[in-house]
Amino acid sequence: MATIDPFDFFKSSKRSEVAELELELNHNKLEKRMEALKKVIAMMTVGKDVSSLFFPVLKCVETNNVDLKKLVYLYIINYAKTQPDLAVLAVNTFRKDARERLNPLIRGLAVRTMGCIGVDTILDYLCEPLKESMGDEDPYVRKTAAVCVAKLFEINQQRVEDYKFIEKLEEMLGDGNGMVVSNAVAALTDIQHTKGKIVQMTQTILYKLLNALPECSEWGRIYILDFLADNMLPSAAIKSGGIEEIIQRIVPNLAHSNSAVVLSATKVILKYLDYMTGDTEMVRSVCRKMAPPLISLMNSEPEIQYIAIRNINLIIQKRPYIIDKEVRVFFCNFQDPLYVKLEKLEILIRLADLKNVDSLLNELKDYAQEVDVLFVRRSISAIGRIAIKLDRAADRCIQVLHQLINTKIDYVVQEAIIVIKDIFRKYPNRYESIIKDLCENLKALDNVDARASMIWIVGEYGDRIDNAVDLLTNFSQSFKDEARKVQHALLNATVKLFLKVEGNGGAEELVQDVLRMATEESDNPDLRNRGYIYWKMLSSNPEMAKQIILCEKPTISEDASTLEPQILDKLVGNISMLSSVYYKVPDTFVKKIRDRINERLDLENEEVQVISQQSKQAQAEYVDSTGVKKSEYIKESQVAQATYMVDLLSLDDQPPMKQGGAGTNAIDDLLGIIDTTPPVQHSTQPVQQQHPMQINGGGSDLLDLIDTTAHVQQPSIQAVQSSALDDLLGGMGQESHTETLLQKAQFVKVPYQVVLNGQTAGQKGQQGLQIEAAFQRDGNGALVLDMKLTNLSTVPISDCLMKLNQNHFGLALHDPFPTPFTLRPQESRSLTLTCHQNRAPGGPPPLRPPVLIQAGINCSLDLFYFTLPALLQVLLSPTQLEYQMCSRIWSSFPVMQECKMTMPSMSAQITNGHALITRLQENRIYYLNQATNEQGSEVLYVYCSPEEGDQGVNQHEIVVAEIGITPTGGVEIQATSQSGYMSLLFLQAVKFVLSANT
Amino acid sequence: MASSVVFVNQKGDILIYRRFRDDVSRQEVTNFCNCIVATKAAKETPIINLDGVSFIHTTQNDITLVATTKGNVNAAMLMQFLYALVTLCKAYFTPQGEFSEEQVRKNFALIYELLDEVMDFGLPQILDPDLLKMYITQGGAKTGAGALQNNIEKLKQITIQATGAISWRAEGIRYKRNEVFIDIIENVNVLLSVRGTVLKADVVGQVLVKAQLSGMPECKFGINDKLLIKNADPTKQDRGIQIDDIKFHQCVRLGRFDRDRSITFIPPDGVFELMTYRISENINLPFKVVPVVQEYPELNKLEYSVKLKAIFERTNFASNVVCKVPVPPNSASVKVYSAGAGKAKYEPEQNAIMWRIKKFQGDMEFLMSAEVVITPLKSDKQWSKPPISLDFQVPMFTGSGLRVRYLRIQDKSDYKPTKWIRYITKAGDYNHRI
Repeated sequence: MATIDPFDFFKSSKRSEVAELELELNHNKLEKRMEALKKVIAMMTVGKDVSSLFFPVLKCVETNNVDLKKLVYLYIINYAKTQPDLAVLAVNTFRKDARERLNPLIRGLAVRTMGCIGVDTILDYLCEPLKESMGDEDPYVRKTAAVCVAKLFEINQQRVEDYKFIEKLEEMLGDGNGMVVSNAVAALTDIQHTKGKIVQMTQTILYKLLNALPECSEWGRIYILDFLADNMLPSAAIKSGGIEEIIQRIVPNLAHSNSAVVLSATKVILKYLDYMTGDTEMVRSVCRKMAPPLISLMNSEPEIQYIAIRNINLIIQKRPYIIDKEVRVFFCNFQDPLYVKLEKLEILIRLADLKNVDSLLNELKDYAQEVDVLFVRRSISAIGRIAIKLDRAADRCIQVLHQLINTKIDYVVQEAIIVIKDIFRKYPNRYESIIKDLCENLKALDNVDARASMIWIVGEYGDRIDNAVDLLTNFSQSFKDEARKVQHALLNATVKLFLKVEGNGGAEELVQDVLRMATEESDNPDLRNRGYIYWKMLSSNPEMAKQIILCEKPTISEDASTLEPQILDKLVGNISMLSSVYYKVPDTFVKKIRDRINERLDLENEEVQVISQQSKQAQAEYVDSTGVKKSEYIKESQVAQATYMVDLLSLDDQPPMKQGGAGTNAIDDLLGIIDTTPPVQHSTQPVQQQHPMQINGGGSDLLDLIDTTAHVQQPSIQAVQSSALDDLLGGMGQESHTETLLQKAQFVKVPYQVVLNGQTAGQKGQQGLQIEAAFQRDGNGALVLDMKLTNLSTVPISDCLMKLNQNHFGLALHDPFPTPFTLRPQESRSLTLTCHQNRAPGGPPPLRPPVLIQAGINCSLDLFYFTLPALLQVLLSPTQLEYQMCSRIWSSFPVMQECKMTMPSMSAQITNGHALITRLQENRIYYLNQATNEQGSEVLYVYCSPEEGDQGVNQHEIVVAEIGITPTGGVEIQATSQSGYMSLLFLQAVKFVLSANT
Repeated sequence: MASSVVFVNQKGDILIYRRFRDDVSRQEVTNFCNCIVATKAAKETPIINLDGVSFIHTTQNDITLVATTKGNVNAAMLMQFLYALVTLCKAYFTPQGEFSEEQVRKNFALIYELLDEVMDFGLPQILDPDLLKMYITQGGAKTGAGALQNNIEKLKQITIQATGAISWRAEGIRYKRNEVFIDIIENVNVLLSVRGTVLKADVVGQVLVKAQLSGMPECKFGINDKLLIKNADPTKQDRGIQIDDIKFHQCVRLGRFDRDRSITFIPPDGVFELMTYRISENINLPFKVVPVVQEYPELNKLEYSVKLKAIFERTNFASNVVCKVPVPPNSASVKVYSAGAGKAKYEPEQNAIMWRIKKFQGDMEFLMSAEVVITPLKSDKQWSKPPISLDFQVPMFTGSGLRVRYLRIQDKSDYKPTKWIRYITKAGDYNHRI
């Protein structure tokens, strides 16, 4: 044992800023304590660890000064989650304050704060005061208590049920105070998000809420209105004339100055209007009332305008006549931010009709001459979409496009080409005269879509363009460097041209050239396939090929951005919510709260190692304004890989028809749709991509089709893999392997880590001692600290004395240091110090991995402090438990802290389930049994517990984990323990143990 | 519903970070700051989804305020909450109305305390500055806090008021002189095409009231609203004006307005915005602009002649009229030949000729002409041609024709308050394309 007291050792340091604050926090004068506390909070916000001041801060709570109390509470909230043990100590304060007789503000404050402490163990002490607060005489306390129930629900659902808090919330809906009602509603809404429907809407509840509505603050109104929209009274339960009455009660809210109230009220009205059938006069009169408030939103801040316009786009799809005469309101102002302008364009297209099209086109023409390239291009695209939408306005649209082409601005002309291609598809043989101007005003074609469109036009009208062959020959020169889309277009166009201008000299050479490049030199399977098919068709029966390839194309229409009715209804029910801004149904981007928390724990577990990676990833994973994820683009490359497999199947020198399964379908489709496909509309997906480029003829269609086949294929591949891994586990049988494994305890060696850097200055400002260290189990299973010391200073280092601070796992050094010990300048030496574990009451448990043990080394050079990381597996007990004993302990866990982790791969040495168990047992993580889990897959159960000195096993810190092997050869681990930190430590340790190579 | 509320400066540093729920980690917020705020990508859309976390944000001066969430929250509500938070901070900061990084740093303890009160578990609660000032006194009126501790009656009154139906007015207000001031402020927004046709025009007005009234006065406010007049007396000649839309301060009884279009309320104490309204029919534009811009590309020259005409009565005057005539950024020399009144001068930092007229009499017109020589640019990048914009104030004039007909005030103590009223019309977005 060491001779010096560890506490003394650590107190000897120079008084730090923290120590200074501690003194001030204990000061008699209120002002001093206040100032000190403010400094503590300031340090906390910049992320400094001031948790060591918990006790002095907590002492300050004994005051009548509300301001001081608030600061203390703020501090407690911040550390409660990470240091639950400390938070427990504050419980009594909360209980006392929550029952403060005189000051309702203090009661409210206490109720509000205690809900923020998500520590399960103290909930029992808080439920009782909470129950009292819900019936407090003061509305301020009641409204705070209502929200507290929602907080409690997130921590522990069982408690909420035990104390019947949900029923109490429902009672609160009849409270006389508007804010209490609205907060109860907000709490219920929150709970419903996790738990699903709990409130059965009845006439009585509905009228209670409608009565409370005028008494509420702006925020309260929003909670109530959103709740009404989510929980509709069934139409059967409404008496005749009831719908009108409900709507009439909501309508006044449209005149509220808060735009969120307006939007929420609109939502409720729209939903109740759905109940009205036939009664069109009434419906129309309600709709007339909704229009002006919505339009007024166009005078609000740009961010609100953005939300409003995205919502209006939904509303007018649902009920077009709400805003049909108001097109001018959506004209873009010069100062509007780009994101508002782009959304306004979408509305303009939707509102375009024969009456307003002239003024609209003038407007769009003006926009097309602005400077922002994206805005200009979208404006031109809008002109094209209007032409396709309104047959009788197409002439005027073409005129405008013509004028724009004559500006000769490159990106204007290029965008015009893209939309004109679509116009040609819609109105074939009507506007070909414009082609000449297109060609004349074109300086460069650097836009992929424009190139593809131009090529399509040349192919389509090759018989009318004199130099069509020359044009395409020019394009084909750079065939290999072109984008996929352009290559496809070129292939199609040359084949079409060949069939159209039969006998014309150059066409045949051109088509052969392009077919050769597509089939022989391209590594794109789609292109090759298409090339082969064309080749085969042209060589076997040119007449038939002509019939197939030059057939009449189905027309296209402007409805790429129109949503399916069911999805539209869902989105309209979410007006003002994020869902209606993203145009995504909530389920597609929201997770249940429980999952979210588990996920976060996983994340934190991984955080240490992957922070840098993560930020990079996040940068890539960025969703643009239309809600299209970058990752969806990334998927394309995966798709390409998958299609490659399809390709391999069909390249087998056999006619493609004979392939089985998905491959056949794909090929069938290929033949069937060559250049006759209408644009593929992703209407089956809940997410409508609002992209004007949606109308793509030709090329990309094929890709989309292959895309779907690829998706079909994937699951089956996985199935094969997972069955293979079943075997892997199956070979293991039921018998325990414990006996054999015990003999050769091979602990995975933990690599050194630099714990003290040579540049770190000690307490006297000296530097030059570098230490690398790691806690290990040696061959005999003894816990040791392996160290490598290097002297980077210019003087010899001697008289070393090392000490570990008190810590949760009771780790201490057996000997302070070998003596005599001298380290000359530039010398390195390795040592092994024996450690022991003595679980006397120690420091707080670690918050998250790794376990960091504070250490100090005092030597002739200086006094240095540093932390030593320790992985859980070196701290584990060799004691093995009986199966019954273990399961008894496990089932007696009053609370379970589960954490999940997925490792994509393991060490190559672990080839099967057997090796996995061996590796774990060697590191004192013991096999318990094997079973089938809820999802029906085979999993292993293992357990471990940290060493407890003489006391054997500490039941509170046992970790039991479920390990499943994933189809990809990785593992999925779900760790359960009574305290969250143990699960996290366990996952970290397992990750290390399983990925190490011995 | 919000998981956290964050104040970030333009470098992406977190100044204030208040967590309300646990599902969004600080790491995820830092990501947003680094990827979006610091790179200025924040300008793209006000709602950004990054890795499953939605960031709802707005930028005020040099501070970006962010609300984060992983759920399907009410986006408009959180956006309004952020605006209200800025208003609240402005009301607390000294000097009032200033909102900047420096102020945020100076007042961080106050902001944390406010955040604790204005949002609970991510749900907006009480954001009324006047109300909060009664019990959140951090940094401000220190003496008030001490007094409050001992006055339990007062405390109860505050909590009742904070949560109650009339949260905006306290009981027991007394004034020696009961007065009420009404300001009708109208902003005229116009967009005119190159040829001078009106593309869109509307008036957005606000009625500001400064009430210095005792007790709990019951007020009824009447304007020449067409629907109201028609309801009251269908035979009357005065047609009144057609209001497209009205939004009221929370004190106005919306149900009553919906029923018979009467505006009744118990006012808050002091200054408040009683209502805002929007009118788009029969608007009197106070000014007419006739711009002629001739381009001579081969001479690298542009000629401007801009005529400005006041269309209101001769007895009225507009003040501080500023006409901003944009010129290309590559202008080499700008010569102003004549300005009928006031001063016209080329201001390179604005890329415009600024024509300023201090006082502009009704029914008068003036002409400004200028010549601009530009240096030819190599790239044929176009000049964006921003519109000519106009700024002005015309007192005793309303673009909409709105008039206050009466303001009736009744209180138990039955006093007779003095009433004052002012009208002023200002330029909102007054743009004429060229």
